[in-house]
Amino acid sequence: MPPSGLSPKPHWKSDAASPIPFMAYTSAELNKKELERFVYSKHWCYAGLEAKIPNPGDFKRTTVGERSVVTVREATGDINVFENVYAHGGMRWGQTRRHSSRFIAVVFISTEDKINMNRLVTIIGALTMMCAAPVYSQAPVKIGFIGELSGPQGVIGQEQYDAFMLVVQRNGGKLGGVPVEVLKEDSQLKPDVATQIAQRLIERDKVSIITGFTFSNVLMAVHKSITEKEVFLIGSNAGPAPIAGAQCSPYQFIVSWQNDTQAEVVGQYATDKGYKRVIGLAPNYQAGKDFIAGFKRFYQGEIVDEIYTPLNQPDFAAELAQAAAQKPDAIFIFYPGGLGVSFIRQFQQAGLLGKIPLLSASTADGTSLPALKDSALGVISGTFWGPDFTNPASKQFVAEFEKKFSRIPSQYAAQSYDAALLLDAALAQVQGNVVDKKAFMAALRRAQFNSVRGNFKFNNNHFPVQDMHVFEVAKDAKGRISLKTIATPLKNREDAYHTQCALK
Amino acid sequence: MVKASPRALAAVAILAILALVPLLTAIIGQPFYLTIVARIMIFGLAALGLNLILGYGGMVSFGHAMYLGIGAYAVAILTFHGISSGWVHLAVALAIGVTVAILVGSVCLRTSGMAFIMITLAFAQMFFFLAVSLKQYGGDDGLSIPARSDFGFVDLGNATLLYYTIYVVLLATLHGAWHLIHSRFGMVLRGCKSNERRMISLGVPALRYKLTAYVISAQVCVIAGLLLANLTRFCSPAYMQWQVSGELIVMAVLGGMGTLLGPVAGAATLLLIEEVLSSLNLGLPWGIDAFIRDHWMAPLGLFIVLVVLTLKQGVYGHLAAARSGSA
Amino acid sequence: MTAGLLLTQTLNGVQLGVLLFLLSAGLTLVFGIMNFVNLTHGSLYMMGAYFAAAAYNASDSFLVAGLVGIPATIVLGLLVERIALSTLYTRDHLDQVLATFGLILFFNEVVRIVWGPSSIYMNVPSTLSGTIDLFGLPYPAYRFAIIGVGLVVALALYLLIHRSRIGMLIRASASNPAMAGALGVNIKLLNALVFGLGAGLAGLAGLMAGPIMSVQPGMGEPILILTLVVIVTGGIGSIRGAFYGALMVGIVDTMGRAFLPTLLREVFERSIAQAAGPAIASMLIYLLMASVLALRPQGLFPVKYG
Repeated sequence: MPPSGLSPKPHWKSDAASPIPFMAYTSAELNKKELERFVYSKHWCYAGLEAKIPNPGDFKRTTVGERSVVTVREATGDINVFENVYAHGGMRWGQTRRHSSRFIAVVFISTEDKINMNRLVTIIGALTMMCAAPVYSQAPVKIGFIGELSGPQGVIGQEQYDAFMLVVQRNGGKLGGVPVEVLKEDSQLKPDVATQIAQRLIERDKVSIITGFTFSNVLMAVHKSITEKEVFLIGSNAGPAPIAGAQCSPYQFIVSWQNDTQAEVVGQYATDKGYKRVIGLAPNYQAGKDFIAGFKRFYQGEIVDEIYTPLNQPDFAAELAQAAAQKPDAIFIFYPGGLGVSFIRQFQQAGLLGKIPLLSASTADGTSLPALKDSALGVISGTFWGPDFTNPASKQFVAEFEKKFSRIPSQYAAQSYDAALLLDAALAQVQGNVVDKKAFMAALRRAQFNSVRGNFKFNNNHFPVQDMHVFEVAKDAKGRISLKTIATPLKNREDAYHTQCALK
Repeated sequence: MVKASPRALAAVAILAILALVPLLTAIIGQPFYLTIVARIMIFGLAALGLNLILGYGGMVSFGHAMYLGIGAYAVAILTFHGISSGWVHLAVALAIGVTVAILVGSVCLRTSGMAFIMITLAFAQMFFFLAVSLKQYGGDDGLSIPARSDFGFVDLGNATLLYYTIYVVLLATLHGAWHLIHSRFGMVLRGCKSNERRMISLGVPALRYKLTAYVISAQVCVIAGLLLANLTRFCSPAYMQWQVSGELIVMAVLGGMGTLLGPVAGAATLLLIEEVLSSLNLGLPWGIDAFIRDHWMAPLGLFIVLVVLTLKQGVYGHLAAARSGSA
Repeated sequence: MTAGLLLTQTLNGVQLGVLLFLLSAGLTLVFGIMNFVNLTHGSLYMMGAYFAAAAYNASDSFLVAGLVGIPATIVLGLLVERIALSTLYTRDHLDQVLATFGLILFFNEVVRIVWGPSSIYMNVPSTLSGTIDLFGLPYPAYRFAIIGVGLVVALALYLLIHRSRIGMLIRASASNPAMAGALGVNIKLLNALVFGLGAGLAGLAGLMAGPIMSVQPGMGEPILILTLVVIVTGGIGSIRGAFYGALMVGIVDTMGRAFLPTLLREVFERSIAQAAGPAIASMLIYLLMASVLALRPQGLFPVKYG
């Protein structure tokens, strides 16, 4: 083989008639060029022989370029060609082939028909050029992922990313049948870094969707600059109050929850249990105050004391002694990530676990339980989902996640998994066309997908309306420390701020 | 610095390249890089301010992020209350900055060496916790700034104009700093660094000189903070964390303390390495790219150690020394 | 506010102080004797906690965790000293700060690569898992153990520095290394010894802190800052200063956190007290340090050599 075999230009032996150079059959670059020129531009492509599907219901699978398509004989006798993707599962279907011996007609489809799947043209015998129509682009939809991936809280962002990619990889790098490219970025829990990253994703990488967002303060810093540029923001963790209320945006969808609701359900639980005197503890920052406020909204007893500790304070001996001395009926805490590990461990060592009920939100979860093990048994936690849910979507998610990462998924993983499913459904509906913002927005708003939490519905402010549950830290069937659903105090909970949002 | 020495040429070249950045980003159609370079210049400006007392006065302040924060909060809080005039922002920021710097400086300058490092940290931490407790201004979550400071004749809403504003401020500060260092004042300051007791015996009121230098250095950081808030349109206590103070020191030392442009070079080195490593995509085998992207701090840490071990005067200091042939 | 609660909070303060002392003692030795600013001390503490936690998870024994964790930290400390830091002894303090800052970044990432970003499990030994009753308020037995270990280490260090031959050499080389070297003391070996001792103490602190705090990447920096506060407040280079400084910082911090918000509530409205209380409590140790340094820049208990 001549050295020119490496270049895309075929080397002909002479100007006279000669065999086609061998490299033309094997060159990846030529193949790519060919795909672009013939398969993905306005052109007729072979889809199958009409005679092979003589009866209504007959079908045949072939590939057009890189895409699998299915040619079907309808009940009316017409022939339709569909792209072979099942939007929700991302599975190919039609595994069997029909055979036919007679060679009569050839079915051709125009590749631009991807946009309008039902249009189909049959031509007998020969190839004809098609009339002009918009060109379907195979370029991947770019999705930015911004999360906390380093530092003590990095584990939460990692859970979000792992679960999101679980869906993307299961679908063969696609969402909604469209290839996607996920650009992972670490905001390092620094709002100024996050604003810079958001700008880079939008201006340099030209993403049309950004997902992730681990911490409220980071989301608050960047949400305006994202939605102002009409880029879709699909939040899968933080849900601060302002963006659920007055600062809501049609481009902003939060798949997880509004911060307060996770604490509200625990407040309702405390009321249901008849606790009269409760002490609340949280880090001294906005989310900490939001969670205590959420708890108080549904708790009808007396809040004996609210203790705010400096963010990143690792030792709680003083606060624990102070709280225990007031002999409360229960203690409510919000300590995300490593803080929760320290707090619960010290609570147990102080001999308080089992004596005073410990109620929590975003504290005893899949990220902290492996470090806590038995020292967290009996802790109560409130959120929207737990790994013991029995609906099929949740079971499939837990099984796949455990198989791939050998750990029980946390709620953060579940939220992000749902975010990926939401995009999967919405992208399928618009066939990957995110340029039409209105249509994609409507598709997101109404997307139907099999959420791990059962039903999924967006409120007017694009936050979910959902059941909120209460869990207890207990051993699961395999003897591992996990969360067990014990009650559902709030059904179809809408967050407290949705009325302040101008969206209908 | 001798005129037209290789080092001066290098400095001119760097500044000329900075001036051409908006053109380059426009040509390649990536206006995003403008923001990165603008950010580098702002941190370079802050490190330059710190270096006035660190490199030339021997005063290692571990609390200069406080002044960055004062500048940023002046913009954020005034805008929050509907005062959008940039001149008011600047006046208030400098007034508060000068007052705080005089008060803090006169306490801190009673000490020197390690004690000075820690007492400046103490004051910065107190301001940090103060900012965290400002609940009406966002507390720990910080404050978004709806619109950039309104300076009348220049529209900072335009990215290119904002860039050139930062550039001009940097140039002006460099110019001012050069004159300051080579004035009698600068001589006294450098004298205090090498032997303060001798300066005092010579009849120089050393403390007054050092305090003045401290206040000037703080004001450069206040202006950098003001620009930073305008660039990111966001302000939070995170700007005042002790890590930021530490980074400013690292930038100054990494670039070369003994030089004017060193801190700017240090800021560029640190931020560019961070930018490059965290979005590395060279197509290296065995997933090395992704590994470095995820763990970019490890190579950065090793790089810093290597710089210290091999280049004794920092990145720019070394280059400058090598070029002028007087290492 | 009962007497029992006051006693509990004092013990909490002492316990935090003792933990800080374990770290400060090592840092102040390296700083005061070798004249070296070692910011990696916090990383050594973190590595100690990780080594101990890894050994604990493999063996399920706290004793093994200690037997593995502390020597491993010493070895790591000595390696770092040999490879990266020993050439920096004669250099400017700022170069040392820069190099050790680089090492902090490096170690935090290494921990993330090896053990992942989330915190890892470690628990107290079963014999110390209970509580001890103090006037009706239970106090964790393990925290008593920390206090005990700290006091023993303090006594041992006092005897080592002030009553042993090695201690004499250490003091000699601290006050005048060139002279001590000229008199035939192997300064290089002595430096390595001091560095190893500091690393060992950091490893011990990591081991003791592992079960109560979360073992996670970056756990060394917040405590490094506290440790620096302790040694400048106490007086750089002085073990005695580190001891009293650590106890002061521990008690002031704990008491401020425990009682300040309540006290403020007596004077101000609840909402103001809730906003100001935690902020002032956090500032308290820095206020302490700033006032000490403003009045006595050399610290409270400066070294009195020769």
